[in-house]
Amino acid sequence: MSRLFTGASTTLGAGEVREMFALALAHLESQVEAINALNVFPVPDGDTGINMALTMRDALAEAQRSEAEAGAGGVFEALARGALLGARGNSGVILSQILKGLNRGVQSEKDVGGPDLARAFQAASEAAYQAVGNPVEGTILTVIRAVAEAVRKEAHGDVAPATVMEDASSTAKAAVARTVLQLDVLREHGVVDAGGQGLSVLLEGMAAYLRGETATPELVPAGASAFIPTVEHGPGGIAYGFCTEFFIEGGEADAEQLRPGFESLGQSVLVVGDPGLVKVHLHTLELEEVLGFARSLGAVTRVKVDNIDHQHQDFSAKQSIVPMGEVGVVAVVVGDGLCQLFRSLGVAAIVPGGQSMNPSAEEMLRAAEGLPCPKVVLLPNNRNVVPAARQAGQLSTGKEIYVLPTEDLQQGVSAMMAFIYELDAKSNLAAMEEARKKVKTGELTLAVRGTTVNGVRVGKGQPIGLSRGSLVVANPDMEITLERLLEHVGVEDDSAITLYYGMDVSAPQAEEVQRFVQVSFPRAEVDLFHGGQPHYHYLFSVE
Amino acid sequence: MTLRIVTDSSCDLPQGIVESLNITVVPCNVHFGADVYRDGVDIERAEFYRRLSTGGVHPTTSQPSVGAFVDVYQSLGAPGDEVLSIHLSSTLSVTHHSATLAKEEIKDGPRIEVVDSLQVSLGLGLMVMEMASIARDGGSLADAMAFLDKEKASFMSYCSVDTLVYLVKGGRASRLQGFFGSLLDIKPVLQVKDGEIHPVGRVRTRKRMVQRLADVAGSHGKPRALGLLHSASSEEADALAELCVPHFPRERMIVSEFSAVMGAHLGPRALGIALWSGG
Repeated sequence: MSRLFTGASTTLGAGEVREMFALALAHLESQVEAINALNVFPVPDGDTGINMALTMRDALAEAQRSEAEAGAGGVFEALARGALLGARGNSGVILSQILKGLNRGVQSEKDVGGPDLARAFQAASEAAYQAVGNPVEGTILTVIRAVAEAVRKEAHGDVAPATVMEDASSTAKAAVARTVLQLDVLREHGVVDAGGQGLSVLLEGMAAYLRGETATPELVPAGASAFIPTVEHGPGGIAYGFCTEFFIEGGEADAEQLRPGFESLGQSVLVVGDPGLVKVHLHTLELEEVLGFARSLGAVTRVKVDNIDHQHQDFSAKQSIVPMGEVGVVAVVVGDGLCQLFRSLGVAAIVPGGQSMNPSAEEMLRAAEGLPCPKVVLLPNNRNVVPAARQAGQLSTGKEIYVLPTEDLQQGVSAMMAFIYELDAKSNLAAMEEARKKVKTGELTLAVRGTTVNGVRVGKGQPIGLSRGSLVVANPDMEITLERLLEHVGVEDDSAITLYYGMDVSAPQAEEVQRFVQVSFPRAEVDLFHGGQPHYHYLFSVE
Repeated sequence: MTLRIVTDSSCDLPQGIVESLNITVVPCNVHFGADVYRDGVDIERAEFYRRLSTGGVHPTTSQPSVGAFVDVYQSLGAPGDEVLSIHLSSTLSVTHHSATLAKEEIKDGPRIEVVDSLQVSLGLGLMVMEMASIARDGGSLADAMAFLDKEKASFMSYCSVDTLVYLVKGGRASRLQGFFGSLLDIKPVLQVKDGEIHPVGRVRTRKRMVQRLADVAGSHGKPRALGLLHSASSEEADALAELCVPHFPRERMIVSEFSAVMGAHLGPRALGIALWSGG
């Protein structure tokens, strides 16, 4: 922070608004792990913290570039634009809508006063509710609405910004605490809503700045009992190269000081932690350089590297033979086998990502706009990616983008089966939507922690079967779990069952499971396919 | 003055209909390596499909020679008679070209019109049956041509193949390869429209393939004629016929096996449906 803000000021200029949000982001980043851990589901989708942080980071990056003469209003406008483009996951999209509402509320004021902020929160609440088709209470939406109601009385008169933010922050904290009682699923697990918590942390950061605090908060560890996701990033602007993350131990610099160095070496940079233990995530083309730089700062441990490049090259080589008419398809896909499959079905561009790696609206938008056709069908292939995909659809200026809300990869494959490149967008969308709705899907994985969901008791490490986002069956035996899940979704005599085995399953193991399924359902056709997806040992579709 | 109808063996009409309607079918050629067979003359369907599934040599095809057409045209009539020679789509074969060249060779013979049906298989065959009916009822070449002007576009054909390999090897589907060359076991569903092969769907199992083709029968209004085709897969053709019963009377359906020249391009276990739509 370049200078200390005095809380008594009646208005905020551009610089102060920027610094206020910078501290808010620092607060959020310090709690990324803790917010991720507020995940109620025993599968690795705990990415709310990271999605909100990455969205906020893009918002702030845009704000840093905003023109000085545009004033505070210009900063709000840039924040809104940056968040819109960078939105990842459900929570990121709602956050972007909140920032959009704030911008609408402050309008183009050069300086922003307390009443302006109070009015902005009203607009933010409205925008957030509008963005969600089916608002659920006990979530981030409830929190922003509570804030808006609390500060409404300050919308007129002569209140300092600091007062409004204190009100907003304390109201948010209380509202978050109540979410545990508002949603059954939260009550069952005794946790608060992750998105609401993320918003609360941001508001606390803003209030802290207006109180005159500048220190970056300490890293808040994930709750001991909660699950910590193994993959916790959204792929960033580089659609090729390496995605890496690691820890730097025993260094002297803190995350704030280290970040610029890593930002010069890659994209989607996330640096969190304290001197002594800093976690770094980024996408880069210069892996050796990144690791070399990291080693100069301390002991580098727990290095993870994924090559996003080879899939991309593979695709580029094949792209020329994908026939294309008026409509091209962009799909969000994870897993080497599934990427190849989608390409072979005629997908024109793939955005890497999916479960716990939600791509941003901008990444999807860029892929769509890069296609040489006027209309694009976008397949999010994950329930959490759907909102950002819709955002991408709305952002496009050059193309008509249609989002087919595929909730999982299997629905995506079925939709692609119905795609005919020669037909127009309308016919394709109708056929693809019908195919998407017709297919029955399920997923099989191992519980990452013990819990009880929908009355089903699950032990840590136990095979669990999910269908359409709900836990359906848990059994110590993987094959039996799969069989029961298949029975649950329904297998007919003439069904075609396709099993996609994940990166953690070997081909011989998968073949054995295929034989088991064939014996269980002797009249169905059972196909096996190497999906290569993370997290899920098996995905399946029944058609 | 009589009107005679000439077509080629890609029309896939059963022999009984060919004889009863007095249709002249000029055979296309099927090659197994250096051996050349006239479709339906030197090689019957059963023998062809046996060789297709057991032999290591991939069959190829060629159009009837100009001479074959000249011989036919000369044998069919004297000056004053009329011949309508209608053939498979000129984008799929040079048969139409061969017939056109033959027509120019005929000096003192019947009046000949060579027509590109823009169809193939029973899509062509059903059209030929209507032509033959006009001729049988004493209609003229002008009557037949007027019928075609009005109705040609109402004849359509669809097929689904077990594998795209044969179409690709035969050079008829290189454009479709990127679309159907999937890693999954997919049955392409194709339509011949405006003379060309277009993709209309991809299905995963043979049962779906049968169902998808049956759906076609009900999707173009009430058909005025319906033909079903198979290559060495008569049981599935029967199943397809049953599924088509709601759309068309079973006793009037024409069920036929793809001729050798068609089978060489579609491979074994292909199914097809052709119809004269709307009525």
